Amino acid sequence: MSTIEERPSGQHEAELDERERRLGEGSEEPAADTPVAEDDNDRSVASTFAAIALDLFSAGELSEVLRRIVEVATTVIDGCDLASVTMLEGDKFSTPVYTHTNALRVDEVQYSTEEGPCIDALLSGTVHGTATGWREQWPDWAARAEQAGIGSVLAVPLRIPNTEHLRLGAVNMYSYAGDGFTEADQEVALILSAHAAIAAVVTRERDEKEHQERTFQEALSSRDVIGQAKGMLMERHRISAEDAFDTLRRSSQGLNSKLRDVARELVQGSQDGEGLTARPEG
Amino acid sequence: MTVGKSQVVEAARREVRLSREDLYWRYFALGGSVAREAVDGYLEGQVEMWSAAEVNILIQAVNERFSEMGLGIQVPYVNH
Repeated sequence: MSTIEERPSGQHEAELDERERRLGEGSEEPAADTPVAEDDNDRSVASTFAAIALDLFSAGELSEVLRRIVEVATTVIDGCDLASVTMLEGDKFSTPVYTHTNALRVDEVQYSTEEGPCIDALLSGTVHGTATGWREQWPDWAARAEQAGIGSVLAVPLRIPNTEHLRLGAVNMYSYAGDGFTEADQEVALILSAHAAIAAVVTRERDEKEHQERTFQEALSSRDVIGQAKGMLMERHRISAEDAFDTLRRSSQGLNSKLRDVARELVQGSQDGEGLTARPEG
Repeated sequence: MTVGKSQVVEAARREVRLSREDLYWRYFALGGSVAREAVDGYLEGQVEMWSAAEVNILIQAVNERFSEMGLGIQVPYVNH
């Protein structure tokens, strides 16, 4: 698992400047005393997310998509100091990616106390965080999170409405500041989560398709060698296909090997076919 | 073939925690020629008549899983 080490606290201001620079890439730098036009901001955010979408879709595997999501969260959302992703497999929550172990720790507190914004965001499909009154809503978890230095939290569901993909996971963003997330941050987080959810589903479906293709090819290969072995036995011993299979089956039991391996050895000539008896099971 | 045998195979499948899809692909890889839907129907006890040879291939698929788990052959084969 890839993690991103925590940055020295003294670099926080410099990072904010860097984020602003990235968001402003492609647009002309305004004069210091000139208000930034709203349209310019919209364009820079749009171009940033266009790049993010391409980046997410070029990721090779689901784990890579998730890792990029947390990287992007800490990059484009100003107040986000730490980020992680909660996933739900069956009835078990897990954190497959995180930018710092502090994020992992406060996630795992949620899983053990069975309360917290990330769990609620995932299960309800709505945004949860500091703004919803975290100390009252999740008192046990909030106390532990504050001990870890967390000042505010924003958890956004990973879901695609009107599909079966309603509980993919949640993107968890933590800030050391008490007022780390603005309404604008929440809007940006929602756009990010929408991109991330689609990329996650596309990647997962692609992974499953590749797995199915491998399974099919391996099964065909196995069938082929077993068919050849049966044919050899049928010819040598003048037995039926069923008896040939039984012969291979008994040999695999006797040798404590998989039937396809016995068949492969027979076909490759490393095992003497005459040594295999062809008695019907009695 | 009796429904009783299919129940034994289905119970064994659950015991070794093979999904029906995984069991089907193992059966297919061993040369099984019955369609996935029919295999599911057999495991659910809805299809009673199968050739003994096909049932033995399905049993072999389950038993190989038992062997992988170090438990040896668990499901008896049927005569044909």
